[in-house]
Amino acid sequence: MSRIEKALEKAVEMRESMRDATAKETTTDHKFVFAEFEVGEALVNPDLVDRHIVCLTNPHSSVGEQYKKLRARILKATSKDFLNTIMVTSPDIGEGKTITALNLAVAMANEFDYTVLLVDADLKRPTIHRYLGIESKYGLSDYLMNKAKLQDILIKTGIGKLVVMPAGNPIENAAELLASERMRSLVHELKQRYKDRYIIFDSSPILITADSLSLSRYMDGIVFVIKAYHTTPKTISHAISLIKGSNILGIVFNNVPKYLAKNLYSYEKYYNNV
Amino acid sequence: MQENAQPFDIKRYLAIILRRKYIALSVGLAVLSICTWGSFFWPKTYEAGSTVFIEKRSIINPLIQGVGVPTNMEERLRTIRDSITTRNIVERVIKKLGIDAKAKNSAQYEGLIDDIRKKLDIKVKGTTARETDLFTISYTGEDPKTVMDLVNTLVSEYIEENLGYRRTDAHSAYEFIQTQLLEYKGKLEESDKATREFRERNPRMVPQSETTLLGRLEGFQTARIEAEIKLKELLRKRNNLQKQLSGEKELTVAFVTREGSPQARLNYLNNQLMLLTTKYTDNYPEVIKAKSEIEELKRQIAHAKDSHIDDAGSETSAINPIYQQLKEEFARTDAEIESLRARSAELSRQQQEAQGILGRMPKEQEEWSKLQRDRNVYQKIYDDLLQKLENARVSKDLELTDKTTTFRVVDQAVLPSYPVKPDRVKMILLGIFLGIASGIGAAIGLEYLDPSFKDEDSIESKLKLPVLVTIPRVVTEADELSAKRLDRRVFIASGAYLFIIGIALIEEFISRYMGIKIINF
Repeated sequence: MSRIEKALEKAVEMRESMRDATAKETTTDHKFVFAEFEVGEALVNPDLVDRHIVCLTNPHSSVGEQYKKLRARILKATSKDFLNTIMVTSPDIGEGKTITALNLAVAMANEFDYTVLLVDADLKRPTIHRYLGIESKYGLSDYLMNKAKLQDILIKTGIGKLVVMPAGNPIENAAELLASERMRSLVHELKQRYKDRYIIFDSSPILITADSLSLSRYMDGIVFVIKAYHTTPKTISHAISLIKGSNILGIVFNNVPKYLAKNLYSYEKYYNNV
Repeated sequence: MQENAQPFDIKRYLAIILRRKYIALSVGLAVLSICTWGSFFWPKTYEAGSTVFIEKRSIINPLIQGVGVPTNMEERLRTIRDSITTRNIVERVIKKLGIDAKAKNSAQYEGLIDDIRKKLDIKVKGTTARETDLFTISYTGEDPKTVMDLVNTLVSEYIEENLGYRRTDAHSAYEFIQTQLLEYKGKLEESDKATREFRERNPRMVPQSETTLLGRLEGFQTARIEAEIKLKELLRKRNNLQKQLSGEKELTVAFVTREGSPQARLNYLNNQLMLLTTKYTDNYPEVIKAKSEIEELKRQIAHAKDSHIDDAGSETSAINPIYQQLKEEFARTDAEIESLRARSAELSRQQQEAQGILGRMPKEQEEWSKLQRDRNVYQKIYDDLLQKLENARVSKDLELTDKTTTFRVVDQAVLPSYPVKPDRVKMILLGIFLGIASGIGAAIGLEYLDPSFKDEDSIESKLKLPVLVTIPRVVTEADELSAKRLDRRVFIASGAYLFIIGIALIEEFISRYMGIKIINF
């Protein structure tokens, strides 16, 4: 049996299982939500979007190009096996997890015919809604605590097929909630429904909280964000050792200053001149 | 990625510094502050210096004057240093200034002396030949007045002692020469006396040379020998006369002398005839004459025998003239002998004396030359000393009247108005320099000390994970604005601070180097 045949077989199996899941989902209370996947009221106002979300504010800049490159590489690494749940994390806070996740999500939603769900899984310090300039009453935490329904926490952004799931109201036992059966089944639901759907999780720092560790178990792929002049080999090694066994897709080298990323900036110049 | 390919990129370093500009700035300002404010709180040390002229040629010792002891500068400096910081001088200075009050025990006192010695600095002012006689004697300390007093006291003590020393030295040299002179004068006089005595002892000695003496001796000898020969002759003559006198009767002498002895004549003639006949014939006139005379005499003798008794009476009463004559001759000869004997004795004596002189001659000559030599030597020394005495007198007078420039204070130490340490101008300038250097150093140093990731390659090699993408720093307008705002604040604040330091620097500079005091810190 050739590899292709194997892959085809696998794909067929997957599709069938997905259908199974969908069938299963219909029995749940939120099956209709996924049918449409365009729920919620809050559309993103471009003026309120943080300028760091270059994929929204300046998609053709060199930075935007870099995010497109990131998107391409992730798709290349994941599409074959349909590893569509991706967690963006980093060892420490402020290394650019949320911005990377947001840009990646926007880049994916913009350029391709992918439905992208961006989940703010940093339940302690949720920031995605702020970057996008949206507000929501409920979020993931509320869903996990059974305080809100799934359709209540999914926000249509109006940016391609990007849907955002905010973190919701702050809670204390985030790790437990994220490790809960409800979370597991949610991830499973989200993942299995469609093959063209990518679910990107913005998580909390690995070395600071246990949340990401809990979450990482359900993830198909993990992207590490390393901030230039910030992340040290020691911290990143430690972080990697903590999530051993997970599929680490690669590193995003973030916030690289001009003089260190000369090639990138000259690229930018080229673009600007054009 | 291109980092390794570019060994040195000024822009990159500039960017690194700019990236850490606050660190660089704060480190730089901190260093500058330490230097600046440190210079204000640093214990002040003052320095006072006096320029002293110390002549190389010293006229200390006229005795060795002209010999000249050439010394090199270092040696000279050390000598001067040693002579200035002698315990004696330092102790006197301490006593005079009353700074020994601080020392409670002998150990502290020793420490004080050592401290003063250590803080004292002696330097040659210049390197040119004209300036090598100028020395600066400086002292550093915490109190400006003490510092000034110490230097001045020290210098004056030193000069005083040296002048005093030199004075006494010149004086003693003078006195020494004087006593020497007297001594040699005595010796000279003694020598003169000895010469005189010698001359008195040997009056004929002096002008005589050996040859003349020998000539004289020879003269004496010849004269004596001649006299002796003559004396012998005379003595023989005297003997003959005596013999003749004894053979002649006093009274018959006249007869005999008148007629002669016919018998003796006869005998004589007989003998004569005998001799003649052996040579000549009987017809030879002489023979004939002799025969006839003999005949005549025979006749006479016969006649005389006949008439002998008759003539006896007349014979005694007659005075013998020959006898008389002989007697006179004898007496004359005797007198002559007497005089010759005396002359001979005199000559002999003189000869002996000359002989004696000749014998003694080497010894006396030696004594004489010794006397002469001594005298000459003494004379020479005396002359020299006389001249040196004159020199010494001049030196002494010169020094006494202080006309000499052996030691002279050219510049008195003045009250130092500014501490030599800390030199605030230098400290601040140093602070600025060090601040810039340390700021840059801190920024770049941190860059290299920073273990964080700076390039993709190191990430990939360390983590064995692919770098999916490198995202440049996104600088939003808001970021830029806030950064600019912060920059402005920081720069204004540090600018103001630098301005204050700059004012302090200018003030210090003006007051220190131009002597204008604006603010008194």
